[in-house]
Amino acid sequence: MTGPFEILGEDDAPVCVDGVCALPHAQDDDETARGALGERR
Amino acid sequence: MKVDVWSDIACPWCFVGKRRFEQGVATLGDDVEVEVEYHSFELAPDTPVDFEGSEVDFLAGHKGMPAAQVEQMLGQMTQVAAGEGLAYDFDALQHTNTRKAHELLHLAKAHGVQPAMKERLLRAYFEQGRHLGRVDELADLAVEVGLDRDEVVRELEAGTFAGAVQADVDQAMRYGIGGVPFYVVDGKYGVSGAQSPETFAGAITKAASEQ
Repeated sequence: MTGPFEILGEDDAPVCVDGVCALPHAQDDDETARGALGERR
Repeated sequence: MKVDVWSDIACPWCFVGKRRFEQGVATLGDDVEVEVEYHSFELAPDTPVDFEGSEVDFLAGHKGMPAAQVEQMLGQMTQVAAGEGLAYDFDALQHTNTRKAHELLHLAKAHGVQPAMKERLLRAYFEQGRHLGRVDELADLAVEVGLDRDEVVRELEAGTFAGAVQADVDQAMRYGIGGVPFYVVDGKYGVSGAQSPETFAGAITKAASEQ
């Protein structure tokens, strides 16, 4: 649950989180792969 | 049906998600009228307006990864975007702070042209290598969607909408939104990430059926 909302959809849809933009194939990989596209901080 | 979207200009998944969302809405035909409002989210508020170097330089420098590996990853992102009809050009991309661009989106909202402004800014950033941290450049783009150049320059230099940007950022924090894009459908369903068109359509249909 995020905020007052019921969350719909797939859990592993790609997002940018804290400047880290994960690629689809990296979703289940290690953190290094997750961060490869966009560590911005 | 109101859909509130938190996103950043400098967010590759936000542009991809925008396309997938639009595809999902298109499948609904005239059954549901969807109104989208964009809200500000800054992925990197500490980014300087002017960064000397390429996107690869910036990402490799911050992540400490070999430039070749970053280039490979950007290439993969470019391919994903191409699958949505988007021509990402990370070689031309000018990394910058997006706060002024967010202020412009709020000004555009006040004039009823926010969706067009959002699309124009994303295209300018990811496909055309435009510098979205500079007021003059933003004003040029704003004119293309019908805004008055002098007004845009005046309001952005005055920071008139800085408070509105911060209010969006603060609201995202209160909601616990940590990643973008993030969609709130009819104020009660959250959809996180660049989901499939079917997922977006399903969420809207579900909310509409309960109205």
